[in-house]
Amino acid sequence: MHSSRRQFLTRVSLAAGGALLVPSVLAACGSDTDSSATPSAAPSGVDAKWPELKSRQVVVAGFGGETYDVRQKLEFDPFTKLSGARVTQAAWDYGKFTEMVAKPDPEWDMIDFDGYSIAALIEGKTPPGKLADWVRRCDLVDAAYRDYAAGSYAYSVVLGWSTKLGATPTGWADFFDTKKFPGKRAFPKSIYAGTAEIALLADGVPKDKIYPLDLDRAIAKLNTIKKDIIFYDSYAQGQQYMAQGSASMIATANSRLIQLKDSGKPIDWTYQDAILYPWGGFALTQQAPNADAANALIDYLSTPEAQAAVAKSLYLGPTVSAALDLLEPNVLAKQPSAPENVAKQLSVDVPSLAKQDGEYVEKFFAWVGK
Amino acid sequence: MGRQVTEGGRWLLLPPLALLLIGLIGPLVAVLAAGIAAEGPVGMVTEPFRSELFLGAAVRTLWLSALVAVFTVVIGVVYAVALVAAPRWLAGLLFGVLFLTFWVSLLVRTFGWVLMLQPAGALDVLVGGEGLGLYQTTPGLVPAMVHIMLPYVVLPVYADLRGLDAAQLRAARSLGGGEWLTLRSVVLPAIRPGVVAGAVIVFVLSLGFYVTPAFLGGPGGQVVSIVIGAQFGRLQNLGGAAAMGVLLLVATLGLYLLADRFLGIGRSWSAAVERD
Repeated sequence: MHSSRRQFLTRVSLAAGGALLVPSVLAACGSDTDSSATPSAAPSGVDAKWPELKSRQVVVAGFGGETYDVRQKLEFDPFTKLSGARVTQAAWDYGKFTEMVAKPDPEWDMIDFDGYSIAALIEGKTPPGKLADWVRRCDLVDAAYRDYAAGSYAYSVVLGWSTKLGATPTGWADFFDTKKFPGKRAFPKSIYAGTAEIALLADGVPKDKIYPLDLDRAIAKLNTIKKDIIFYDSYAQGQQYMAQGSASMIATANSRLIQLKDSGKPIDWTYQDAILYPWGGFALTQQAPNADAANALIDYLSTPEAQAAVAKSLYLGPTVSAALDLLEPNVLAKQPSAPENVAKQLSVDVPSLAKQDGEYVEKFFAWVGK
Repeated sequence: MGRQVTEGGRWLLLPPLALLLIGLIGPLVAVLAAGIAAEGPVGMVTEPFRSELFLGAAVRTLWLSALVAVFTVVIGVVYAVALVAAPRWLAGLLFGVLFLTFWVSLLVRTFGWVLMLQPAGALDVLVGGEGLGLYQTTPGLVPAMVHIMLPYVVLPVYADLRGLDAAQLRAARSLGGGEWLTLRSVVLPAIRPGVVAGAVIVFVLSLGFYVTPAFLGGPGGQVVSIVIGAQFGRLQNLGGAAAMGVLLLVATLGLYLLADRFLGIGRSWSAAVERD
């Protein structure tokens, strides 16, 4: 695997700092837990098609931190009760999964992934394992990927601002207008966090012309505010910038701003023109050692009840439209995948984005490391 | 050093040798093998030099480390003198503060500096106005790294100062030496080994410093360790990481050997051991 110069530059420019922040990790780092939000009742008949799973186990690479406890309580514990199979959580690592996905005896059965990661694996000819026929599919996942991804969530990268600014920003163009809206801009040190889309929208590209991404144009636009940016490595850090007043505006996950606003901080945000990552999914390794239990877990995670419970607690949008019907109107209004909010946002074109993965990585990290 | 090991005592060398083999030589061989397998023996040497980003980081790391070493030595010597000269209670307090920097986790101290330096952070509140703008810049790393490195200079210099016989100072003064002359011809030679040893260890540690640049530095000012670290993870570029890592190790060893040759670090350290 002697590498060409171009590949090497790609890798090194990634090394310019961006790889520290893996967007997927950010994506699911949701907000605080509502301990009462366990699924009201185990979905009836969910286990009818499952094989015998007693005393089996399944190894899941999930996101650490806050989501660990939430997932354990809302999803994995009820699943264990229902099936008898134990769920072991492993520390999430993109590179580790891609390394093991096609190999025999992988360490993990499944991983929580963003849509573009799954699409990129399929694009790169190392697709994740196919879901068993009896696993329910998620209707908000792009049709081409429904056999490879289910049970996870949508999220949005939204515009947030300090209400101390006086004027209220109305779109991404204001994010780039440091005269009208002074102060630092908190921005992800990563791609796939609305990174290029935000710049293109601000530059006046209409929503239906965003893909394929004109990355040179996006970077030229980002250059206009580079000295005003403070970068964050994790959504938690971005949140902290806003809480402390280090930045006056931010591009970050919807859940993080909901959490800040609910805690009484002088901060507001909007779904208007937000970048919606419309679906993620749990993906299997091709030769998952506990394939039965892993499939059953994904089946369980894709039930409207389980999806609704997490949506309510973490503001991660369901990828099953039936789950939206289970949410109260005030909870639904905060969901990135609620139809009313979807209409306001730019929905990421996952297949198109996956095709640009290499170029996106190379150009963004060359820019950020400069 | 240099003493004959008795026949039976030789076995005592086994644990440290085993540790050296398992903890250092083994992994090093693995890294070399991974690098050569991926890049070939020639690519292993040339790969890092083909990257402007790596070269930029290398230059930045060198001057950052030198700057940190200089500042740490200046502040460290003053601190050590204060430890010796201060009344007992104050010296105790100064020691306490110094050791706190040892005991509090590196990560916590780095986050402390993040909260200090970030816009609208503690320092900006103190200074007022627009703030200093040090956050996520390379110069912003210097105060944090000096703070973290301080004990490595203070302790050896303090040991030297304690070893300085007060009678020597009195003799110098009674023979007509002024304060400046006494400092220059009695005190400074006495602390030279400590200063040199401290400066070199701070410089060498700074070359491979990871945590502080990762959390406090900006993406536009990467140091070598960050560039190497990012080869793992999403990139899975073991070959490139190995090549850069080995280059960093060789450069560090080379610089150390140069320092030893011309400044006699090894001698001053064994002298310190003999004295104790």
